[in-house]
Amino acid sequence: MITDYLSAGWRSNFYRDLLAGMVVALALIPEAIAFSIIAGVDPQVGLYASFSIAVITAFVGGRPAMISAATGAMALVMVSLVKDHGLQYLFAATLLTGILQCIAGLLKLGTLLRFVSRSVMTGFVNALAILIFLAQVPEIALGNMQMYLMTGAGLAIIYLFPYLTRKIPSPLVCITFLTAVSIFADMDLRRVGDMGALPASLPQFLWPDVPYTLETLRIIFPYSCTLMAVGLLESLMTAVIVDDLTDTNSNKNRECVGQGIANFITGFLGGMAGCAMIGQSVINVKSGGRGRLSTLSAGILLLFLILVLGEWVKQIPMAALVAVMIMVSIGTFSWASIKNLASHPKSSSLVMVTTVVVVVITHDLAKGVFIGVLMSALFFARKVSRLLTIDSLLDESSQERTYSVHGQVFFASAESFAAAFNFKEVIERVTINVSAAHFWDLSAVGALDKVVLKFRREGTEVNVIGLNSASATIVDRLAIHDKPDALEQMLAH
Amino acid sequence: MADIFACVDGSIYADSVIDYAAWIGNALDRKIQLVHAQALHNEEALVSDLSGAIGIDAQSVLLEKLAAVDEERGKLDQKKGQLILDHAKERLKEQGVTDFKVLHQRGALVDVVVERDAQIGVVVMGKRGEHAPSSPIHFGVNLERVLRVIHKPLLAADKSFRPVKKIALAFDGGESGKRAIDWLAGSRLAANGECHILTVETDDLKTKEDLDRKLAEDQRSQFETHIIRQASKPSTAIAKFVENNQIDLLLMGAYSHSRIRQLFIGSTTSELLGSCACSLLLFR
Repeated sequence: MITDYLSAGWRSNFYRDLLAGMVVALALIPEAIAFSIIAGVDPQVGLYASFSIAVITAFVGGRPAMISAATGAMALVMVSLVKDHGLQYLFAATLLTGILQCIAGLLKLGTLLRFVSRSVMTGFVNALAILIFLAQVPEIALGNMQMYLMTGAGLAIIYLFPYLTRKIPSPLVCITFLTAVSIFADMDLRRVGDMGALPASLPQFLWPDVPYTLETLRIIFPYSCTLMAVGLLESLMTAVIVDDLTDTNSNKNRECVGQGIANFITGFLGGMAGCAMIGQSVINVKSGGRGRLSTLSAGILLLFLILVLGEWVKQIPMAALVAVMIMVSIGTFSWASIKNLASHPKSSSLVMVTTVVVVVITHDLAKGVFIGVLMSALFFARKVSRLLTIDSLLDESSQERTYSVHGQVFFASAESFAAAFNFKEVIERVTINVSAAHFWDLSAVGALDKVVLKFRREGTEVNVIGLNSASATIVDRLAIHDKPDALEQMLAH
Repeated sequence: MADIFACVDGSIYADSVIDYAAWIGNALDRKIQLVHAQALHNEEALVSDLSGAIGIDAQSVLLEKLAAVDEERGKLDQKKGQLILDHAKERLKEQGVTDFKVLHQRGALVDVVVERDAQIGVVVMGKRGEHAPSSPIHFGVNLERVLRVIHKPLLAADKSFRPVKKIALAFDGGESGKRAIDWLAGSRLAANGECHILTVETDDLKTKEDLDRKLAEDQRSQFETHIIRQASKPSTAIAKFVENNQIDLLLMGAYSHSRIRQLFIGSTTSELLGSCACSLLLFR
C-alpha cells in the first residue's frame, strides 16, 4: 500500500517532465534568492529551502506537477521574526509550521477550502502579486539610471525573446545576458553576492540553536500559525489551479500533510518555510510538466546549478532579479478581475477589493483571507435572508387570519420574520402555517416564540401548524439520505 | 446477466476477438457486449512551451490553450472509437449475432472492465493490441493488467479465429485449475469437442490415477487425461503438446503462484501467453 501511495503520479511523461523541471529550476533560482532577500536572510536559506521542499513534496505531496519552494507569501510573514529574533528562531518556526500543517492535514482541514470563495481567492492572488512588486521597490529605490536601464532591458528580453524562440527559457536568457553585459562593461551594480552567503555545499542537518523553553514557543507560535495558514491556503489554491490545467484531481489533505513534512525537514536543513508557487506551477504545466518527476528534477537541478555555478550566480546583478520578479508579479496578478469589476456583482467585487486592501496594508495574507471569508459569509447570509415571503388570508366569518410563511428563517431574517405580522389587528384567532418554511437555527425558533407570545399578550389565540417539517433543518446533520426526493422538496421553497 | 465482454481496438486482433466472442456467446448462450475504451490523455503533455515567461492572465490563457488542444484530440479519439465499433458491429452482424450491446467509455480498459465485474461472464481480448507489430514477443499491456485484476474467465484471442474442435486444459492441481475444470465440465463445450487434461508431472501428480482422483465423478468421462514427464519448463511442455495435437483452445489457471515466485522462477501464464500457438482461456 505504501508503494502504491508513493508510486502514483510518476507517469509516462518522462522527457517532458525532465525538461519542464529544468525550465522551472532556472526560473526558481532568481526567485528563491529574491524571496530570501525579502525575508531578510541569506540567499542560501531560500535556496536550501527550495531544494528540500521541492524534492520532498515530489514524493509526499498530493498534487503532481505543482512546484513548492520558498515563496514570497511566506517570506513576508517572516520579516519581523528574523529582524527581532534571528535566523535560528526562523528555523524553529519552520519546524513548528511543518508540525501544524501535518496536524491540519490529518484533521482533514484541507476540505475547509470550500469556504474560501472565488472572490477571496482572486483577492489573495492579486494581493500576492502587488506585494511581490512592492518588495522590489526598495531595491529599485537604491538603484541609479544604469540599474533602471538594465531592469528595462531585462524585462524587454523576458517578454520579447519568446517571439524568437520558445525552446530556451527567456528569464535564463535575461539573467545570462545582463550578467555578461554587467561584467564586460564592468558596471557598478549591486549583485547577488552582496546580499549574503550562497550555498557552498549540500545542506547540513542541524538542530535549531534556540532554547527549548515555553518562552521560545510563545515567540514562534503566532508566526507558525500564520505561516501554516498562508502556506496551506496558497498550496491548496495552487493545487486547484493545477487541477484545472491538467484536468486531473488531487488529494488536498495529502497535500497538507506533504507540505507539513517538507517544512518540518526543511527546518532541520537550514531553510525557510515555503509553500506552493502559482507562477512556477503555471510555468511547469506550460512547459509540459505533468508528473512528480518535474517537481523532483526542478529541486535537484536547482541545487546542482547553484553548487556548480555558484561563482557565476554571485555575479548576477540585482537588476536582473528585479526584472524576473516583476514578470512574476505581472503574471500572477489577475488582470481579468479588473475588467470584471464592472460586470460582476458588487458584493463579490467588494470582497475581492477588501481582501486586497487588507493584505497590502497588513502585509499578512492570512488576515486578508480571513476578512474576505467573513465578508463572503455575511453577504451570503444577507442574500438568503431575502428568500422569505409571508402572506396572509383573512377569513371574515370565523374571525381568523392565516399567515403562510415561505422561505428561509435564520438569524439574518428573524427580524423581518417578526416584522411581517400585524399585531395591531384585533382578531380572535391566528394560524401561522410554517410547513413551507425552513428554520435553520435557534434564532428562528426564538423569533417564532416571540411572535406567538406577542399575539397571546394581545388576547389572540395562536395556532402554529407544520412546525415539525419546518424545524427539520435545525439539526446539524440533515438526514435526507433515505428519502430520494426529500432534497428537492426542501429546496423547492 | 453474465455477458461476453468483447474488447475491441484498432489492431489486427480485433476481428479475431469478434469471432471468438460470437463463438463463445453462441456456445454458452450469452449476450455479447462490445467494449471500446478510449484512452485518457491526462498523463501526457501535448503543449510544451519552454519560454519560462508568464504573461498577462497566464492561468486563463494557458487553460484555454490546453482545453482547445485536448478538445481536438478528444474529438479525433472519439471518431476513431466510433469507426472501430462500427466495424465490430458489422462483423458481428455477419456472424449472425443481432442482439448485442455497445459500450464506448473513456478511461483505462482495466478500470472499465473492473467496474462492471459483476455483469461479466467471459472477457474476450486480443493477445496483443495496437503495438503488436513493434513488440512481437511480449503480449499486450492491457491483457496483463485485466488478467491480474478480474475474477472472471478471460479469453486471450490469437491473431485469427479457428473453429474450436480440440480443447486442452493445463492443470497444476491448484484452485484456479479446478475452477477451470468445473467450468469446462459444466459448459456445452465439453460435449461438442474433444477435451484433454494435461498435467506436467509433479510430486503428487505422477500417474493418470492421481489425476483421475482429482477430478469429480461425473467429470472423468468427459476428459482424456495426459501426464507429461517433467521437462525443462512446464510452459515449453504444454506449448509442445498444443502444437503436436493441434489444440484449438487451451484452458488454464492464471497467475496461481505468488508474485515473488513469478519474479524469480517466472510465470507459466506469461510464458504461454507469449509462446502458445492457439488462443487461451484463463481462469483466476
